[in-house]
Amino acid sequence: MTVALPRRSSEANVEAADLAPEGIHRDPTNHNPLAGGTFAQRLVHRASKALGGRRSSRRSFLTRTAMVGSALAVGPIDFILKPGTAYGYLCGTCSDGWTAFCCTVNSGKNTCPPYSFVAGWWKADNAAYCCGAARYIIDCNATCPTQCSCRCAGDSCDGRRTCCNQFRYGQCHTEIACYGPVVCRVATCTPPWRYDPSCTTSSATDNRTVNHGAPCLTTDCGSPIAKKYAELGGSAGFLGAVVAPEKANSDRRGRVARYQNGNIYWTATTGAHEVHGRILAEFAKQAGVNGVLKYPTSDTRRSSDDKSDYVNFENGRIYDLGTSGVITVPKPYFTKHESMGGVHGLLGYPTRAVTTSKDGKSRYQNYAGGRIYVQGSRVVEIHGAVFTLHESIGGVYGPLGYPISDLAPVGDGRGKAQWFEKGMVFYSPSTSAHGLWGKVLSRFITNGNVRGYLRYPTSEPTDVGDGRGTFAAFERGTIYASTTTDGFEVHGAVLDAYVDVHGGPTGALGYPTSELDPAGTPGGRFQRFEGGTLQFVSDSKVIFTPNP
Amino acid sequence: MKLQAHGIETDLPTGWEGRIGVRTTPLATSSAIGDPAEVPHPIVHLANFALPEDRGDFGSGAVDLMGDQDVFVSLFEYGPECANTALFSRQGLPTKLTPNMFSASALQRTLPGQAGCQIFFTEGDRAFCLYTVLGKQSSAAKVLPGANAALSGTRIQPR
Amino acid sequence: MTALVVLLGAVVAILAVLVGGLLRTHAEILKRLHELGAGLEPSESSAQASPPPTPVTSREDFQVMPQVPAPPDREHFGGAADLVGLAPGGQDAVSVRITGVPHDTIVAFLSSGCITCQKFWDAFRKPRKLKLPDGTRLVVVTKGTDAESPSSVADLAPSGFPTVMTTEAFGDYDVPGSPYFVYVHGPSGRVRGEGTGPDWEQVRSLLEQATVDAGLTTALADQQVSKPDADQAREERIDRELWAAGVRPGDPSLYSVDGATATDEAGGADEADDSEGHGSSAKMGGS
Repeated sequence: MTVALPRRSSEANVEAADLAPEGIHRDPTNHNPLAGGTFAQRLVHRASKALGGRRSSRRSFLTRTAMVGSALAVGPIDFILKPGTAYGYLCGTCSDGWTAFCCTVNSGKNTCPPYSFVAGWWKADNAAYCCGAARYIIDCNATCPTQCSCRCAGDSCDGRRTCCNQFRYGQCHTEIACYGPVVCRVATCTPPWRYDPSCTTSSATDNRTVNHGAPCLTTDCGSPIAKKYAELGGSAGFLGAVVAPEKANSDRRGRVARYQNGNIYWTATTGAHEVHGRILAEFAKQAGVNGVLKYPTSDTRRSSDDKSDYVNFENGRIYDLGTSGVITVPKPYFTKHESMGGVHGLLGYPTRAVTTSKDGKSRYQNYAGGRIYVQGSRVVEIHGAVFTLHESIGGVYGPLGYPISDLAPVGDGRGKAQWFEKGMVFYSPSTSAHGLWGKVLSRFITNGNVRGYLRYPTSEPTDVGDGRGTFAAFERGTIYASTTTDGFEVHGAVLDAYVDVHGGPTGALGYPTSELDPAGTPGGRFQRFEGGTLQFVSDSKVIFTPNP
Repeated sequence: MKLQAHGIETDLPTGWEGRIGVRTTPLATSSAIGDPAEVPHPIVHLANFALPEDRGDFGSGAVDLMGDQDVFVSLFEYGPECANTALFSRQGLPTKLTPNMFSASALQRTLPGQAGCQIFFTEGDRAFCLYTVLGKQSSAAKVLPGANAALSGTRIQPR
Repeated sequence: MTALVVLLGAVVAILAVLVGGLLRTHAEILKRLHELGAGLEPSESSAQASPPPTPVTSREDFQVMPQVPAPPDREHFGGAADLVGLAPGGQDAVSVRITGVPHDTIVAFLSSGCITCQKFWDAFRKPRKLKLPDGTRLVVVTKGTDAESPSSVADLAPSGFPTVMTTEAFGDYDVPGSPYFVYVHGPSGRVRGEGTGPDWEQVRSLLEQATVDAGLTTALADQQVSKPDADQAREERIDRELWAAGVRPGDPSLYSVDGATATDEAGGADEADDSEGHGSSAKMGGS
C-alpha cells in the first residue's frame, strides 16, 4: 500500500518556508518526514498523534474511532485476529520514538549507509555493551535533499524507525549545514572523533540510551575483536572502516573481522590480534588461518633492531623485511630459528621462503647466517663457517650429505662438531671448520677425534693425486687412506720423514698400513707402510727400513 | 530567579526552573564515563515543569514527563572549533520562537503530540544548539511566550 | 428468501466480528491511555478516602529529639520559596521550583557535617526505600559555599534528587538547623508541615501526618459538584492569566473588598479561606 496522501495544506505551507536564516537547517524539502512515507506509515503517524492527547473529549473519541478504522484499513484480518493493542498494531514494533541502528538498515553494517553522513554523537556511561566503558552512538543524518522516507526499519526491525527524526547532535561535519532526518545510528565503543575525524570532542551525554540494542549489534562488549578494533582506533585507526563484520570462521574455532586495511582474528586461546599490510598479503598466500600458520598470536610488531615488522602465529612467524620482501618462517623452522636466537642469533633474518631441495629429500629455509633443513621429523640447522664449508664442498650433494645434528660443543672447551649423513665437521676458532668423511674420519674417530693426538683438522680429505688415496691434515699430523688401505695417522718426526724424506704416499713408502707403535713398545716404535717401515727413535731420528 | 554559571546567565520567568552545568570530564584512569579527550561544555536546561535529575543533554528523561502545557529548553554548547561554521552560521541566541519553527519530526525521540525545534547559532564566538520541545504542538502559541521570555532573559558572555 | 436470509446472516456475522474487534480495540486504547496517565477513571489518589484533617499550625506538635534542632519559636509555619543556588560541587547553577507547581515538595535541609544528617544522606541514595508520597518531590538543600564544602556535598548528594547549595533558603524557610524538613504544598506554595527527626522513618511519619491534613482539603474539593467544562476552562484561563501577571495564591489583591483585604476582615487566614485558596491554586499549577 504505497498510495501517497496529499499533505495537509496548512502544514505544507508553514513548513515549506526556508528557515535556514533562523539557524534551522532541517532539509527544506523534507521539513516533516512524518508527513511523508506510504499511506500506511502516515496513518500510523496520525494515529499516534491522535493517541498523544492526554484528555478524552467528544472529538477525540471520534479521532480514536478513526484510529481503529485506520488499523482496520491497514490490515483488517491481522488486526482483528492477532493479539495486541490497536496502537501497537498500527505502530508495529517501531514505536519507541528512537531511530534504528545502522546494522538494521544497512545490510548488517554498523556504518552510515549511502546518502547519509556522520552528523553528531552522544555517549552513554558505564555501558555493558562496551564492557563498562562509555558507549558512543553516532547519528547518520540523511544528506540534503533527503532520499529516504519515514518508515519502520524493516523486517529485522530493532524496534525503531528510520528517516523519521529530524534531529542533529551537531558535533560532526559542521561544514554541512543542511541535514535530513536520522537514517540510523552507529553504536561503537570507539570515541567518535577517532571513528570519523570530522567529529569534534564536544561531549554529549544521554545515559538513558545505554541499553539501546539491536539483534544485529553483537560486536560490542564480549567481543574481543571489537575491543581490539577500538584499541587500535576503530575506523580512524590504521585498520580503517569495517568491510566485513565479525563472523565465525569455517573451522568453528575462531572469528574474523575484515577492515579496509587489515583483519582482526580471534580464538579463545590466542586472543584477538590484527594482521595488516604486506604481512596480511603473505598470510593470505599461506591460506590464512586455514593454512599452516593458523591464527595470529600477536599484533604486528617492530623488531628491536628496527629492521623488520613481524607477526607471530600459532605455527610460525611472518617477517616484513622492507626491500628484502616478506618471508614466512613456519614451524618447525620457526622453533629451530628461535632456539638459535631468532633474527638476533646465529642464523639471522630469513632470506627466502621455505624451499624443497632438488633431490626432494628435504625442505629448507635459508637465513643470512645459515640454513635449516627439515627431513621428516628431523630439523637441523647449519650456520656460520660450517655452513660455508658445507656449501663449498657441494652441500647436501657433496661428500657430507645432509646434516643430521646441530653443531654442538665437543666438550674440550675449545671447538664444536656437527654430524652429517656421511661425515662430520669439526670447528675451532683457530682452525675454522673442516669436514671429514670416509676412512679418514673413521681413523680420526678411532684415535680419539679432537681429543686425540691430532687435535682439529685443518683440511678436508684431499685427493693425493695418484688416483688411490686421500689425506687430511690436522693440527698435529695427517691421516692417509687409500682404496686398498685404511686410514692411518702419521705425525711428528715420522710424518716429517714420511713426507719430506720419502715423498709421502706417492714415494717409496706408499700409504701407511698401521699406526705408530705406542711409546714403550718393546723392541722400538715402528710404523708400517706399503713400501717399508719407519722406526721412531727420537724427534730427530727416524730410521727407514724398506720391505724385503 | 536568576541563574549564573559558566559564562551564561538566565533570568527565569515565573514558573520556570533550570540548571546551568557542565558534566564531569572523563578521567584517564577510567573509561566508564568516556575518553579523557572528551570536552564537556556548558549545558543549560530550562523548563516550566519539574526537571528530573537523570536527564540527557537534549532532555531525554525530562521530555517523557511533559504535559501539554510544558516546554523544555536545552542550550547545548559546542567547542570553539564549531563557532561560525556553516551549521553554526546564525549569529545570536534566538529569542523569538514561533510555531512554524516546530515540527513533530524535529525531536531527538519522537513522542506523540510533541514537537521540537533545533536552532544552531554562534554568539560571542561560542557555538550553541538551542533545542526546544513543546509538550503539545498545538499548544505552541500558548506556551512559546514563556519560552521566549526565558530566552530573552538569557545572556551569553563572550568567550 | 433463503438467499436473503443467508446474506443477512453473513452481514450480521461480519458486523459481529467487527464489533468484537472494535470493543477489544477500545479496551486496549483505554489501557494505553491509562498507561499514559490519561485514563478516564478518576485517579487512585483522588479517589482514596481521607481521614478528617487535623491542621498543623503550632510548634506544640513537635518534640525535640536528641541531636536534632529544636523547632523555631514561632506559632505558624515559615514561608516557602523557590530555590536558587549552586549544585553540589559548587560550579553549576541550579534552581528548583517549589511554589506554584502541581506537585508537593519535601525540602530536606541537611549539612555535610552533622552526624544525624548522615542517616538522611544515606537514605536518600535509595529512593525506592524512601516511600515518598505519590507525586511528591524531594529536594535536598545545604548551605552555600560560604558554609559548606562543595566537594563534601558532592560526595554526599544523592543522584536521584536535586541538591541545591543555598544559604538563603535556610533563611527563607526559617530553618533552625540541620537536619530539618519542610513539606510544601505545590499549588498553593504553602508550607503544610515541617519538623525533624533522628531518621527518615520518623520524618516520613511526620510528613505523612501533614499529608493527611492536606488530604482533607482535597477530599472536600472532590466532594464538590463537578463543574461544566466551560466553567473549568474559564477558571483555568483566569488562573493562568493571574499567574502570568504575578498574582500568587494569597495575594492580598485576590481578597480585596472595597479596598480592604479578606485578611484584614478576618483578622487572619481562617480554614475556610485556606480551602478556597487551595482549590483555586491547584488549577493554577495546571494540574
